[in-house]
Amino acid sequence: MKVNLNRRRFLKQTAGVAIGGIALPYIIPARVLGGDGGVAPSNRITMAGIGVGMQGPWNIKQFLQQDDCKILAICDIDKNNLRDGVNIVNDHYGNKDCAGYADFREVLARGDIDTVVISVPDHWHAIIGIEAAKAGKDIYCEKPLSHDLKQGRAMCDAVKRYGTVWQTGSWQRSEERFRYVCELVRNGRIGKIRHIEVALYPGHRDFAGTKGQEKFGPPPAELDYDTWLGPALYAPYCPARVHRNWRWNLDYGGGQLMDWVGHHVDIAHWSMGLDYTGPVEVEGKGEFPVKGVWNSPTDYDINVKYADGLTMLITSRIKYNLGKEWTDESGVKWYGEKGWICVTRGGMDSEPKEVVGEKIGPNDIRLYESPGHWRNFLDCVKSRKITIAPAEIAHRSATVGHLGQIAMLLERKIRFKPETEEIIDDATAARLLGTEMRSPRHV
Amino acid sequence: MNRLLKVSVIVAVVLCFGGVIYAADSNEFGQLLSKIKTYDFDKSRVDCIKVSDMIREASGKPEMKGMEKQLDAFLESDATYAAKDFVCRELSIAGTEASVPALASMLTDEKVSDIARYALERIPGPAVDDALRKALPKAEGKAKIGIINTLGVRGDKKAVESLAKLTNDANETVAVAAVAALSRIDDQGATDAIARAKDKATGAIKTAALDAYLRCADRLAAKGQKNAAGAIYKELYAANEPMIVRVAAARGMIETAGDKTGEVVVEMLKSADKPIQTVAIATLKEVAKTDVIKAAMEQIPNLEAIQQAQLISALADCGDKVALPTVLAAAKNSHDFVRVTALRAMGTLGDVSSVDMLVAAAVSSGGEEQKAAQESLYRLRGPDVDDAILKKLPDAEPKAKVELVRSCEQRDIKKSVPVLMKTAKDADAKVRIESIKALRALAGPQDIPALIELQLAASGNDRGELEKTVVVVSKKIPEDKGQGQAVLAALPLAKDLDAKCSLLSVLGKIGDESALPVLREALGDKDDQVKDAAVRALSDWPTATPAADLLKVAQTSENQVHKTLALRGYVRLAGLKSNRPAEETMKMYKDAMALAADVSEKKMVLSGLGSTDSFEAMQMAESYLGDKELKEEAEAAVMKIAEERAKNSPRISAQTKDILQKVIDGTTNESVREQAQKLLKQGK
Repeated sequence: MKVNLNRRRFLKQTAGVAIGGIALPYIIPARVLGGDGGVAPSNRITMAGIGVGMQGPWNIKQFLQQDDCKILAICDIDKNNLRDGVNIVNDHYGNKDCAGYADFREVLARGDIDTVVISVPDHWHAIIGIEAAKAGKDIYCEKPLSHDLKQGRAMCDAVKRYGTVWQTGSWQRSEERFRYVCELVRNGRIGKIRHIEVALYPGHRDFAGTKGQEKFGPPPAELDYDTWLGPALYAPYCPARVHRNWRWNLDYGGGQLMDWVGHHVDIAHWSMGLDYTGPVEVEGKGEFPVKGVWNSPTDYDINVKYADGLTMLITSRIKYNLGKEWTDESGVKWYGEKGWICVTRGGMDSEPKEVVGEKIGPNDIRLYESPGHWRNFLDCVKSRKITIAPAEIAHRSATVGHLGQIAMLLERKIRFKPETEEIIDDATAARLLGTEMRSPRHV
Repeated sequence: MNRLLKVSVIVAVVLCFGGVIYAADSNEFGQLLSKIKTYDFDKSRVDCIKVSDMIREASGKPEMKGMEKQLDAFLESDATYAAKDFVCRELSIAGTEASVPALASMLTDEKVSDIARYALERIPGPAVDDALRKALPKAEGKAKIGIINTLGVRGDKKAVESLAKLTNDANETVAVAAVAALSRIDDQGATDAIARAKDKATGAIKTAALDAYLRCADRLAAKGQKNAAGAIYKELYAANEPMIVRVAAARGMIETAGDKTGEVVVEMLKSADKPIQTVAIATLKEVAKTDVIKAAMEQIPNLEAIQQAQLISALADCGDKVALPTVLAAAKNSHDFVRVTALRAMGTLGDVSSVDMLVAAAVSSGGEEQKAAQESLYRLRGPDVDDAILKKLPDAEPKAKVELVRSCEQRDIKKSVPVLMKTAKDADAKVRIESIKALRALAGPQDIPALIELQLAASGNDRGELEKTVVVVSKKIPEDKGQGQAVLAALPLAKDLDAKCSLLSVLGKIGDESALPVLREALGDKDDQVKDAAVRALSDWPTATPAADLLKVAQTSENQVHKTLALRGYVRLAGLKSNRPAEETMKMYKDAMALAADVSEKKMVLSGLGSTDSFEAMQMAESYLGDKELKEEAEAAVMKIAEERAKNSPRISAQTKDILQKVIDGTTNESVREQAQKLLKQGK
């Protein structure tokens, strides 16, 4: 890493982090104390945003709306992003107090920061997530949890080891509609579920307007490109490779499949009580681009099977039209013995029609009810309870995507043992569960 | 394998002997490799994909051996970095120990060491480990750190001695990497080396060693070696270690304590350090046995209020009813947040015996405490809870009755309808209103006559709420099954004009077409009150079907109030979603505008016009831009229509642009100007 960090200071502050980072969460929110709704500054959970390119500003804005949270610092290795991120915070508070950092380790070394929001490219999640857990920070991190299965397991282990409160950005869990539909499914309102269809998006969406900008050259002065590459193998800079569109290259992201698996497969798992397990078979076919920096599949069909015979199709070839405003949406459709239920961000529907609308009673199975995804994280930081989207659950939904990627790459069925997270009878496929990190990175 | 290649292999199998097949494929493979020698990251991957396909197809077959040799030779060639990167990725999947010499030769070269390790890290076999160990002393800088990392990932026990030495390396990054690598090797020697590093090192190496030591303990615990793991945790729990390490160790101690879990949890809860108390609380669910829960509960009086709240919350998560008395006691705690937490916990741990307590709490408190009590009452589980609520309802005090009625609705107690029909006539107004609202959710079509009876007997606010309830329950009947029949049947029972008008109002909101003749007839009633009710009912109609009736009233009525009401209703119906042609809608608005008697009515028409998605509507709105009194509404209508149309078609016609320009030039509202300019810019 290029940014200087005084080692002696790092150690001293890291030792302090443990105490500082643990001490504040004992504060109970004013709304529980029955106060007037305001929160004294000293009672606030302090936070830093690491990565403010795309989802980062969105997450920061969500936390800025929470009275009991105070954002003290922003970190990004792109000076322009850093400037904009710091401005968002300072504009909100009406001061110039927000500190800016290029090196996440300096943020983690601050004993006065309780929590971090990690919104960096997928290939950096494990390193920053694990270091933050070791530093005693509680963590909100974007989905998908990890860049490969072994990194995900290492993250879960670290989170468990240090008692970290972890919230993954799978915010659909905190939306009433998704919870309600999962409760309908879980309570057997369409009978035993035989099959789930998960419709995700195809193609590559040009989030940064850099499609086709693939001429190699020196990186812009504002970007620390070597750090941006981090644990990924060296590749020359071009605009299409980096900001926002990194997700379309398999060295940094996982294409549409991994971008969405942490939303809709996550919901499918939740509905079926599969949060702490995984599939036993995964088969997949994908269409990979033959040129260009974006090499993730543009169309895909992943067939998944679970131990009880439940099957799931994850596909880019189906869309749902349930919403009044949104059309051609991704979503989840459950097929049961007595009908089907479908949910998207825009709406929900069922056959028989009246299933959607049925009440979930007190003696029915009730799922974790979150008051809002970002709110839930802060509440759990204080109560030390498990969040609605903890690392282990996020790891299990990401696992389906990781196995799907392997199955597509090898074009064969993968058999998997979720208890031990091993691929069975296929030593070659098993090799792909982990990826080497470019030196000097490791987890 | 792509189709062309697949065909060539099949043909070769049919025509040739094995050796010839290999030669043919090998040739083709070699040619492909020659082609990709100049590959770079920005070039087409077509040939690379062909190479991948051939490797996948040959995997596990004899011909792979020769192909692997060619790949190894490729690494020693003058191929580009990108081409070698590609080949290393392929070897990471298909390579064997045969590729080790070629890959090992790259290990000490910082430029290509990473791509070599990319392959080697995944290739199984001791030859890889030997090569990595052999390269380690020769490598420097990042190449050395990379090799250390890979030895760790591979869990190479033979590397322990070398890695142990490197924990003392002068280069801190090397030493930290060595410590981390040792933590991944399942070997007592590795654990001992980490223990030594932990005691000896300072700074970042010490921090890494503490983490590494915890990892070793976690691995031992996972393997069932709980005593060995417990010993490490206990060592790290010492007061002189950083708090985050002590927290992690405390968790480990609880999880490996076996029969002594209760004692350890109690010890932690007695700790002077709040983080330690909290880790014991947070871990409780994972080790939740009744004796442990009981031991933890006994410590509640000794904890500070915040930890008490955390523990009560954790007890609820454990779900063991043994905690119920403790939670009940906490619901009377002097700290309100403890009481709130306890009341929330009741929703999980409580049962039929908790109903009285929760109702009392809901009645006597406010804010979060009341909300917690109510939500728990709604969530109490058990087959007898609903019956208990119904039994208590008739004789409860008014405030308690209100809470019990609400719980009937929230708990979806359908069998409460007869009781609620009675409480809808309660002496207490609040009880009546809550009962009527609950009936809205719980009553079914069979209950409509009884609801109408209540409606006709009620007055004031009660009647208004009952009208809403009759509408909602009537709409539970399928549309083609006569949603309004019960109300129509009740009309003759209305004893006075108020009752009749109340029923007419309900008919309008239900919108059953079989009620239209009755309402049309009422328009001609001799009594103005009935006429008024009929106009209002038709104005509330859920579709545009009675639009012509309203237009006629607006055009011909001699009663100014009825004219105004009918015009408003007519404009409302024009704005409802419909399949009629756009020109018919336009005619409706033009008719309405022609009838609008004053500025406020014209503003109302323009407001409705804004929701019409047609250019003609925009033109009509434009025609009022010059009218000082209507300018603001006209601008708003133009902008609303233009924005809606822009959503469907980003390109804006020249005529629309002219209208938007007219808005920009004429408006005094800065926000409208900006909006219009933005649209014009987008539409270019």
